[in-house]
Amino acid sequence: MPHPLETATDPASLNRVVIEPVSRVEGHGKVTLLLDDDRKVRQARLHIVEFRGFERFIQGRPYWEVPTLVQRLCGICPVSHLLAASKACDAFVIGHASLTPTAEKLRRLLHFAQVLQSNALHFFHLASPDLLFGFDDAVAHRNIVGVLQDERELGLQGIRMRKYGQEIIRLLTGKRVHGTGSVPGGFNKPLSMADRDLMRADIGQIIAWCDSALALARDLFLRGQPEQGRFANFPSGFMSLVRPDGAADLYDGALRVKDAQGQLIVDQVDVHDYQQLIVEEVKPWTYMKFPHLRTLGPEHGWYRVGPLARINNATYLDTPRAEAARAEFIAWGGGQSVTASLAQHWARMIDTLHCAEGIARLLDDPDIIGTDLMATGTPLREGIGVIEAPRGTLLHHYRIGDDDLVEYANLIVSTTHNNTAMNEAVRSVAAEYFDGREITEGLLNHIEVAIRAYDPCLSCATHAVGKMPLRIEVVEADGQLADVLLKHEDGALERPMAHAAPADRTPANWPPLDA
Amino acid sequence: MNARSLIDGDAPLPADWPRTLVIAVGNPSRGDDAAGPLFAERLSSWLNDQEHNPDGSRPHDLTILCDQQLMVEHAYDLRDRDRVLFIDAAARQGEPVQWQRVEASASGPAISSHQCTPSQLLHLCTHTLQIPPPDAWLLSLRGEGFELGAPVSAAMQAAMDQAWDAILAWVTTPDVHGQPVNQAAAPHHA
Repeated sequence: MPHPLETATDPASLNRVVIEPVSRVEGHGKVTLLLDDDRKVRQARLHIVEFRGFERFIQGRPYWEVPTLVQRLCGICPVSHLLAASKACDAFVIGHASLTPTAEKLRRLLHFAQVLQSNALHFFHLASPDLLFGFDDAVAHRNIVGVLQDERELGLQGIRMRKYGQEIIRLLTGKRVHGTGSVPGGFNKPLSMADRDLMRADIGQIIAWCDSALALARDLFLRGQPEQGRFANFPSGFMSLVRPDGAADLYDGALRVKDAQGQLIVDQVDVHDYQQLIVEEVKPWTYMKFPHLRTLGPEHGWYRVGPLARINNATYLDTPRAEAARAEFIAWGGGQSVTASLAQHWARMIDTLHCAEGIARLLDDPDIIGTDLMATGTPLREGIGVIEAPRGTLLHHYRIGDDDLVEYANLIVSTTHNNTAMNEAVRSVAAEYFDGREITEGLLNHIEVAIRAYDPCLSCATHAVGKMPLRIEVVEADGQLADVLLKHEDGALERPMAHAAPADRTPANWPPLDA
Repeated sequence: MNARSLIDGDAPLPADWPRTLVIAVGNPSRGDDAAGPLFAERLSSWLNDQEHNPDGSRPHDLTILCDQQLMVEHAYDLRDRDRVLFIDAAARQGEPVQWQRVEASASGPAISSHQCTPSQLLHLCTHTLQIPPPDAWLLSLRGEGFELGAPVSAAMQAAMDQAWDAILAWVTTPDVHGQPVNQAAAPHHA
């Protein structure tokens, strides 16, 4: 599904607008819009500088260190990497054998907690300001503080749902960050009855909050029609894990891909065959690869992952409240895949309710406090682990040598799967909202809203203070800086004319703009 | 919600809840971003080496936390604290070591859900959780490289050495509460 805006025929004659959220150190997004003399968007690209060095970081390490090590790839979803790596490294301990029931259920509990807290954080603290107040609301108000001023209880729920998930993670892994719990071959720490009961005490409240948050997300989206339905709405494929009967499964399953009409493209693809299904294309202007279905090629084979894909793809959800919500969602879409980017928030809260119900069910399962944690089997030398992380399908693939050191590693993270889709979202929004209009913070925020729907993991790990969160540059085709728009950390806008050459303000590790 | 709740922000705190908090932030595997975790480790080791008071109580009223990212739930860690010190690496700043007072503020990066600033945390305390915000300071250390798997640079190591005495002064001198730390307890940064 190519888009005419990706590559302009005569980029040398265009102006360039750069939206640069430099809130991370090494990995941060940047949006480049090439404008023509009439200020029409002629070319749009989302640059994400990230994920370089992941494989190099892992290679040469003993496999048993990998699940702990990969948690350093992401400060927000360390558990997702822990579980994907554990699943891949299970092969090095138990081969094709299955985990013990208790170990698998403890991993599932850990995963539900991770997805719940991440989804809640996204909705309450990132998406809700846009949805509640509209994209053109004053920047000083359109943020989490505005939500807390107007909807204090909503913000409080978000914090407490996040905390609940984090506390389950702490109880299962022993630490708030970089705990273990899940290890190759099983789980290394049983859940005590006391801790199980502690988790149980709050789950009824959490489900109730998920119910109300889902209703809010749905109502805000439906109330925002037709604008929210049109916003960054484009056809694409959708990929996620499903069980043999088509039920969505966050922890395990086979790959399913549907098209925009809701028809199956492929189904029940063994994750071990992912390289037959997916190929990753490299483009010269970004470090991020562009995965797509091998059989359909880069133009037609790209797809989205994440909550929207999970809900679109599922034949059903195996928890009652979430299943009722899924049916309502699919009915709204007329049985086809819902393709509106902002429907992602509605889908995300269905996903979240499913997690809360899943936690409740697991806490009632006697196996969850079992002590048979490690399985045995015949070790292999290659392992592939795939899970549905909060932002979508996460794949870890390793091979080890006779010395048990990792010789080969390949990671495809959710943000990479969504790369083409995020570019498409930016192009779609730019074409509709930027053509012929003055560049204002409100207009630029439309692009941010589109990016936020996918919540890309921008580098995932480094945290450092002191960077400007947003920078917009207009650069003439001859390289002269025409305008600069700074968005400071306090939200204030500044439009100074820069005196240095553009190259002086471009991080050295970025790909050439004109590549 | 009862006192055993995981999410009850109003649950009673232990009687010996320390009134001083250090939150170190960073990724130990990303070059100079490891400054925060390394300080947390060094400070914890130092604390463990301190002899208890004759009555068995702790010699310093201090909690040390370390995390890869600062996130909203850390607001709960600020409950009933008099003072908090955030320690983090800085991507861009003029001085190798910089102290600054943290004021509550709502604004900040909001393009992804991957971070929260100390100012935003204080704002959450004040406006959402009804927690009186502690006297808060940010110690930032200028980093040079943040590549995955990279070691801590010599410059960052020097900055950490420079900052250590000031951190100890801040931790061990309750009087600095409400005072300009860079003058009262951090002479290296005056």
